[in-house]
Formats: sequence, C-alpha cells, structure tokens
Amino acid sequence: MPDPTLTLRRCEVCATIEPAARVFCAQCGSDRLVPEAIPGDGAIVSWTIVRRPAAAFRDLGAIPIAVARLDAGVTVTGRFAGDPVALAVGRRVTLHALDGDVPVFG
Amino acid sequence: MRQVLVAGIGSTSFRRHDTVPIETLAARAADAAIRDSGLDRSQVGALYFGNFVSGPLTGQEVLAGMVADELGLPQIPCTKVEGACASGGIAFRHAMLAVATGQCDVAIAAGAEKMAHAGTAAVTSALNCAMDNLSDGKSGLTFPGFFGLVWNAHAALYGTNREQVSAVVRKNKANGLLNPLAQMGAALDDATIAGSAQICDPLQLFDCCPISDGAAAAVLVAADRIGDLTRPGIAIAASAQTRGTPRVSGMSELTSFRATVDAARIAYEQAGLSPADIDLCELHDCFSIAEVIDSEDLGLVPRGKGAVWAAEGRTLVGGQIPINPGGGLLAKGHPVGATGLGQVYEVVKQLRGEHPNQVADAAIGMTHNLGGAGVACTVNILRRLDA
Repeated sequence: MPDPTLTLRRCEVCATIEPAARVFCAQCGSDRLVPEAIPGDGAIVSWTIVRRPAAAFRDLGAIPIAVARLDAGVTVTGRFAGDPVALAVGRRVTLHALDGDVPVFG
Repeated sequence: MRQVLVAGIGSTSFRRHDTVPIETLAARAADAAIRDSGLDRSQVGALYFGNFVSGPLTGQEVLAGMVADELGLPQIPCTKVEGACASGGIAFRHAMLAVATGQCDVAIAAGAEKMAHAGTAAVTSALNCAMDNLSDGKSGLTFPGFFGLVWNAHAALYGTNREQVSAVVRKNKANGLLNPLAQMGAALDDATIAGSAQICDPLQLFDCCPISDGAAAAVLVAADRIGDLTRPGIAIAASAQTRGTPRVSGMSELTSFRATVDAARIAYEQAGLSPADIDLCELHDCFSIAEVIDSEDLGLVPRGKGAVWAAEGRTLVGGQIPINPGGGLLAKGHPVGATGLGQVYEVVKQLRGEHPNQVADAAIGMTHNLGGAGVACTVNILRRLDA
C-alpha cells in the first residue's frame, strides 16, 4: 500500500500552507491556493477522546482526536490510530492513513 | 453615541420547559423585562433576538417577529442574530447600538433556546453547526471534545489538574443552589466530580453544562429617558463584540481565545476601567475548563492561574474576584441563545443589590459570552449610576 498523502494547499504568493477549506489565503488574501502534498510528520499539540460522538459519528465509537503541529508549519485536526494511552502533548506522530480526507495519525 | 441604560430585565427559569413553545418562553421573559422597566410597550422601537438552533431542534424560525407579535409591539424592525452560543450577547449589543445611535429610544434584546426535548446526540449534532465542519467537524470532534483539547493543552503548559478544575465545578454548582432560576445547583465533593462519567478526556460529566430550555431579556433605553423609569437604570459602560478564528488550526495557542482577549481590551478602553475595577463577572463556563481560560483571557486572573485561583477560593463570592455568583452555565444552565442575556440579568440583579447570592457593594459587573470555537465574543461592563 502506498504511503498516504496529506494534500493541503499552499499560497503561491506568500507560501503559507492553508489547512482549511478557504478560498483566500489567511495571511495575504491571495486566491492563488494550489494543492500540495504535505509531509505528515509532526507533534501532538493536544488530544482528547470523544466518548459521546455526534449522531453522524456513532459508528466510530470512542474517537481519539489528535491535533498535530506538522513540521511543515501547519496545524491539523485528525484522529489517532494507535493505543489511546499513548496520546500525550508533544508526542511525535506521523500520518498513518486518511479516512476520506480526515488525517489519521499514528 | 448616546449613553444607554438597562431599564428592565426578565427571565424564565433555565430548566426543561417541555410543554412551553420557544416563542412563549421568549415572550414571557420580554414581557417581564418591559414591566420591570416601567415603560409602555408602545414605546419600543426595535427588537433584537438571540437564537442559535431553533431551526434544527424545534423547526420554528422567524422568532423575532413572532415574539414581537405575541407581545403586541408596534410594527417595528425585529431582527434575529446568530453567533452560536454568543447569540444573546450579540442581540444585547445590537439593541444597545440601536439606542446609542438614535435609531430609537427604547429597544428590547431577548434570547431563547429550547433544547432539552431533543436528546443529547441530536443536541450535540445541532451544536456542531457552530464548528468548521470542513476542517474540525469532519474528524468527529464535538464541543466537549474541543474543550477537552483546551484542557490538555492548558495542563501541559501550566500543570492544571483535576482537583484544581473541580474547584470551579464545586463553586458554580454551589452558587447555583442559591439561584432560583438555576437548573442544576448541587453540593458536590471532589470524589463525586472525579468519579463521574468520562465525556471527552479529561472532561467528565460534571465539567459540562446541562442541556437547557429558557429565555431572558433586557429593555434598553436612552439615558435622557431616565425620568420615565420605575427603577434606577444600570449604565452600559462598555459593550464590545469581536470575532476570532472558527477553527483549531487558526488558534495560535489552544489555551486562549483571541476573541475574548480583544473584546476585553476594547471593553476596558470603552469604560475607562481596568480588571481591578470589576466587582464580579458572569462568564462563559460552558465547560469547567472554559472558566479557567476565560478568567485569564479577561485579565481577571493572571495567565496560567485560572484553576489555581479557583482552588484557592479567590473566585468565590467574598473572594478577590467573584466569578459566576449566579451559578454560571455549569449550574444555571445554557439555553444557548438566551445565555448572554441571562448573564446581563444576573449582573443587573447584583448591581441593584437584589441578587440571591449578592456580592457585597457590587457597583461594576462584567458579562462574557463566547460562541463556537471562539469565533464570536461579546463582553459588557455594566455600572451602577452612582458608582
């Protein structure tokens, strides 16, 4: 199986990586945001385990959530595939899989 | 801009109101506020209505006009505003602006929500409308989960622990026992809080506000109409509204909401006051850890010390800076569109010297209302006219 690729968008004008589904660059206002594969290595900024999911996510059971600051300089909200006991602020993670376009770290 | 006074306040209890339609809850609160002011309803020139999830949870919209119709108000502009859990605070500010800019002499701000009938999963889904669902929401993150993230970040940075945060829960639940409008006052001990169900680690059941129905309202009037009032008005010394980022990736740190920091700075500047001048604050403790963050962001507590100060008793009534003497969202309840106006209700009661959990000699009070993941914020400073 090929390594999963996290595709975000980079501003062609100021080079900022934009993680959200925005039309305009948050830094410079340009609309020249182009898709770019971003390395999925980073560290956990914070985490939680959602034990009472919203109706649309009931099938997932308890959902370990990890917010990761990627080495590329952008913060993304994703899930955590490893043992939840390992969740800790500062822990190194890498992109393990994509569920649709939701990053899953491990 | 003209000086604006809060002339009257009204509120339903915050609890389940299974058999009462949302427009009736709102009309009762607004009617009580009009009667409290002594003004005639024919003088009301505008109505602003705070509501967030009435569409998905009750199937009823156009509430601003429906409530005005129920009250028999003139054919005035009636406007619903929405800023998630800050909707009530935004309604208050817009009513203030209508009077301050001379659009009318008298305006009503009302807010209402009806949620309890829908059940936890449906309410969680409805509240998730306030998340950026193309970035955070799609992961399965919920608002309790978001504040679990905030807690773990605060703990990693400042060492905040379960026992300290439990002091916030104990205080607000105890304050709620004294408030007849409160849904869930309780005398809790640390073991009960720490033994409650895990919701979103480390948030447990008693760290979360209850799901509530309720409405609250305020009548605002130009200061030159003070002779028409039955009670001494309370001055709106400041009313600030800001926006922050709608998503986690936009937060420079998870331990602070920029919308709160900015709104507080603007409010202190408008009022010519500093945090040390505030006698009490009703702030947005949708979750226990939110009170910790908010108290720091508002400048009432040193950065990183929000939980420590709660554990030391400094935020109790009688302490250095009483926070949420009305019980806060944790105990009073959180009918989201009504909450910002419920806070105004509590602070006006304090400044009139009529609160069931009175802060001695309260002259200057603050309200803080936060929506979404910090995307909308209002901060008000209210002041006794003789202070």
